Amino acid sequence: MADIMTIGLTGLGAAQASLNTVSHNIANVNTPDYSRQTVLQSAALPQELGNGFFGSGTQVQTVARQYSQFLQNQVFAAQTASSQLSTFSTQTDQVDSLLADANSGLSAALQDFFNQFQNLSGSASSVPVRQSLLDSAGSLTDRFHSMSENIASLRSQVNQQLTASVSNINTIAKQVANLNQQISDLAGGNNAVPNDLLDQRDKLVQDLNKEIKVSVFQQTDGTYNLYIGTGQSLVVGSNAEQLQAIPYANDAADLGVAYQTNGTPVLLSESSLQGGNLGGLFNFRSQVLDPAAKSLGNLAIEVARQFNDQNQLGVDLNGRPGANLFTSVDPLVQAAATNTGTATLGVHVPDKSSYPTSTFTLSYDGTSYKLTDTANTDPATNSTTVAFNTTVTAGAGSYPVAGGTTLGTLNGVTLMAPAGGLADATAAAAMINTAAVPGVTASATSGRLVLSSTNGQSITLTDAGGNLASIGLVAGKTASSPTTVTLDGQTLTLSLNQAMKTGDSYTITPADPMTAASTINLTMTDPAQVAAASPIAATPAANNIGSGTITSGTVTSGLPLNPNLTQPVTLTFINATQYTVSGAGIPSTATGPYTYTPEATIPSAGAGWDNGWSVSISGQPAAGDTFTVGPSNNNTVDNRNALSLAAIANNKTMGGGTATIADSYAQLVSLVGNQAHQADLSNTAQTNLLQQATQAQQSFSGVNLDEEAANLLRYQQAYQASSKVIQLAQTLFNGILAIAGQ
Amino acid sequence: MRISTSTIYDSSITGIQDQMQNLFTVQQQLSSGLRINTPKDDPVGAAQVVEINQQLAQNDQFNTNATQAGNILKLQEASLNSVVTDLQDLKQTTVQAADGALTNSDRAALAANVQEKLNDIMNLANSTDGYGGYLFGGYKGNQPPYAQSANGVVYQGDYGQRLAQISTGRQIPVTDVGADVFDNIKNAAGNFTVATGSATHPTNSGSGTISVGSVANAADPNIATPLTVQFANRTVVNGSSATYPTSGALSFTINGKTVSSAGPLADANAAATLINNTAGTGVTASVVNGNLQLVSASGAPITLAESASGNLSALGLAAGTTSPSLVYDVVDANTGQAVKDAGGNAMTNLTYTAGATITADGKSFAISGTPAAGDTFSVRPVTQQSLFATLSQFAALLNAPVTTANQAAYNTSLQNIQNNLDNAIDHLSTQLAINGSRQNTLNSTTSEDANNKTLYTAALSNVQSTDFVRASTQLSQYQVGLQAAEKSFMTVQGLSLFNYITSF
Repeated sequence: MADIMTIGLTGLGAAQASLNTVSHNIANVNTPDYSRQTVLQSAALPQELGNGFFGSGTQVQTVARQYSQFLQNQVFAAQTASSQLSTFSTQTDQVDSLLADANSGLSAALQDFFNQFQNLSGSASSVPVRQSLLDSAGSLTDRFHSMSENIASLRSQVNQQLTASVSNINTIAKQVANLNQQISDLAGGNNAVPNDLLDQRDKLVQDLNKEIKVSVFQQTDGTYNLYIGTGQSLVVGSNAEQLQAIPYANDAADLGVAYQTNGTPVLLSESSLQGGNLGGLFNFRSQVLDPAAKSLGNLAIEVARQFNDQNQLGVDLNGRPGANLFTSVDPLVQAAATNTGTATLGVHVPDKSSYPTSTFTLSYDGTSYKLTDTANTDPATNSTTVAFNTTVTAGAGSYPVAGGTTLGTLNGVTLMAPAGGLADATAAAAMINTAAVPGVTASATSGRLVLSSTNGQSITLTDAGGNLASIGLVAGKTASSPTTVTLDGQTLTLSLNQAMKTGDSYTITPADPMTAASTINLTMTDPAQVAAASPIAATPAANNIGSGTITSGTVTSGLPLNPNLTQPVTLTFINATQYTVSGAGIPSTATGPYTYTPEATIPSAGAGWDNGWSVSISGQPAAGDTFTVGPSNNNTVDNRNALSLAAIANNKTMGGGTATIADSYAQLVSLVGNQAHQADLSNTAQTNLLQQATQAQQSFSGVNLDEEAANLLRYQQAYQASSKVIQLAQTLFNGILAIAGQ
Repeated sequence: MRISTSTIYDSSITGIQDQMQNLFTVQQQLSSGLRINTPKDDPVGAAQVVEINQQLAQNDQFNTNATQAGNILKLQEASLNSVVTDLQDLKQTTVQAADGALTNSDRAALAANVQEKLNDIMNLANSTDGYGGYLFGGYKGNQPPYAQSANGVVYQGDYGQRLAQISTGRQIPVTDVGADVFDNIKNAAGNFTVATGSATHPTNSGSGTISVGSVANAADPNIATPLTVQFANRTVVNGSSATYPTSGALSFTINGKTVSSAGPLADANAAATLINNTAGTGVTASVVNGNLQLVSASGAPITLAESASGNLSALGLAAGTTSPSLVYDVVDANTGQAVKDAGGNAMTNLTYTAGATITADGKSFAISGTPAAGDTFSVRPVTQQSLFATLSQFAALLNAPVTTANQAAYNTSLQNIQNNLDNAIDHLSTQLAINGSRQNTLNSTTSEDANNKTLYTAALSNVQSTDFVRASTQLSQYQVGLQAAEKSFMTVQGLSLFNYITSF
């Protein structure tokens, strides 16, 4: 009965194999990514004994793992998305708490700073109030610094994590490549597969997905090829590529991920590297950290610009024109290295304009000036011509001027009255035009000489023996008037002290918002330098007989300041309803008379003169009454500019004129808060998805101890039964032997 | 569905952690009292918190500003009230001074009293505001607005009015310019100032100067009319008196042009009409004080010749050539019309005599030196007089001895001072009323500020504070949840088939 014995033995072996496998399952109940294994059994080939096929027991086909590539891929996908969101959320939370903290946030410092100007307007001459203002401004810049340091440290944390993540990816990729090698070696040829190695490799791929999204392609030899980004191979068979974290060429502060191509590292685009920690870090940097840094920088620029400009429009406690409160944020002007001229280009951003973001160039080709926006590549819209005009309007002079009189020089050309003398301004204009001074043309308007030039050329006059005054001119140099240009929605005020040479150019670079918050500094140290007062004063003449009163005057000039701002101008009433205007900066054509309207702004729109201030007169002035607007003098409790400084808090200058500085900060808080909130929600959702995918995968592949306990019993019984079969075979054999022995 | 053993543990742990997270969040809300602990808890709310805090801080600051403005206005009110009290005392003094029985020494005693009040008022006008400035000095914070000088008490502040920001876009004046408060007071008596040049011709080229002048007739109805004296080179022939009607027809030549009458001329006006109706003479004839006057406005010489002897003299004229000379007109600066002298004659083409007194519209002055043709001089009435000038005049008046000769002038002056004091009290009362209305405005904005503060605080609380009832309920709810999760885990993890397999 050898057959019974053999059949029993096959059953015994199969039961033992199953018991082994069940034990293996129980042992690995807590092994991550372990797939439950089962022994696949089948009936052994039957024997034909003439009357039929008789079974010959069982045979163990293989040990299979309960594994679904589909479910596993779902886990990979869920894992990489979950890691990305989790990293993004964790990082964003740091910026979120940075803005929330009353001590590290900007809100309180801004409020205190703004309020100091209100206090200043109440006690303009008080040095303690001014000192406290400067202290508060210092605290504000400290806030900006500490916030930008925090942001910078988050940026370097991102870099550190990127480096760690890349090194992790490289390690895992190598391990996967090794496993690929082992798996193809071990599996070689036969159907059996090293299940535990496959599980280990899946575990590694899942770990890899925690760092970056990886596409898996299983090859026929059982190896995995792994690809990242837009198809860059990370692992092919037993070869693993190595990634590198290196800084960007144009942004040394930020690291990117580079892939070796022909031995040279090539940076991969961040948008192609999604998923995992890397994707989360990249998203955090581009969607939260950079916008927050930029927003903070814009706030710093706006604070510096508004308060610097307004302070410069006033005069300080010592009667001097106001200086910058903070580091200047005027765009940086750099002359091209090839420039041959020595012109100085002044650039200012007008008060109510948005701060520019593009880099511009101003060039002169010999016939016109051109401003180009280098950020705009469309030649149809990226440049505009700029006019720099110079005008000198002469006084009345004392005509006639005797023939042969040497008057002086105009831009180096000597002016001499012709033989017949100069009867009037028209004759003087003709004389200058005949002298052919390059670039300067002369004309006569209302009996006065007018000199004008274009293209930024300045007009320089020298006097000869006091004769220049006879044609109403004064020795000195007049530069072209500042001109305001708008290009691509960005506005600049440009001024040249002299003409540029042909072919010269200047680069105009606005302050960089990414660094502005760390570079803003309080430059004012002397509390007396805070310009609380206005540079102008309006005064009625002592012997006015009418009841007219004049307002203190408001500075309307932006920067650069109107050169005639503090030149005395006299408003004279020639009768009860009309007044004339005289003084420096008033063209001879614009002296009036103007009709008097009580409380109307003077100068009225289109009056033809503007010295950078406005006043209004009310009441009933009488003929002969005069009002003078001139420089203010020692007005220590003048708080006009302090009120203007305080009003900046409510000026909507940001976001294209829709938001105050505080609004803009609130927008930053809300932006980051929203990102963090969204990240939280997405992270929770994705964690649930991962959990579900893992449960589905575990439901299929995981070990259940109860099930294994039952199997243990089942295979134990099968083992015992097979033993009984062998025992039976022995008993039968012994029976036969006993018969034989009788 | 198969459940793997690790799933049982993993999901139990996840469940417990979720519950703990919820519990922690509610606990944090309860312990901090804040619903928004970081902006992500409520991004929109967090932005609102920033903005409301900004509004609150600004509101508090406006309240501070208003309080400060109120303090200054109260100081100003107190100063002005004291000035008014002083002025009322001084009015009593004018009544005493009018007493005819007073001796010169009695008046000197009163003068000392006036001087004392003047000093007192000057001190009040120099009051400080407690914030580094003067109440009435405008923007000048470094010197008192009023100082004693050779010309009496003068204002040395400026014309700036300080404002305080009491709400967004609303500013209120907190100080007044001393010149407006104490100097800009209507003057009862005529007074005027003079100047070379005028509004239309500001600079003279001649050497003429104008004297300070005096009031010739304070009662002149046109005492307040501003005058301009204009110089010109014209040829003027002033006729002497003549007897009208003339006897028979007359004939003579002016600049060679024959002027002849058909018959006797009834009066000087008829003679002037005759001359003006004769074309080509180059002169304009008019009648001044009943006498004929011939003027060549261009300044060309005027040559008169007799056609028949005695014809010229019959009109008060004489044969001969008259050269141009410097003459002047006195005109109303507002209208440009010539003013009339006491005799009702237009003050035009008057012969200039250096240093001679010119009297027009109740004002006397003199021009000396050599004015050039085209030069102008202004004579402008002073309609306002400083309170300090009035008081100085009062003291001076009381110090000067009164005699029978100047008794009438004394009484007139005293009356003027009394009127000026009345005007000053009126003026200061108006200032007090303005001050009062500013304080009213401040009071209303202060209560607005208080209301706003309540609203902002409530809004802030709505946005960021924890709803304790809700949070406490949630706390209990999550507590129950956590206990349930823990208990169920204990139950599930205790179940294992191995526990029931006893025999192997």
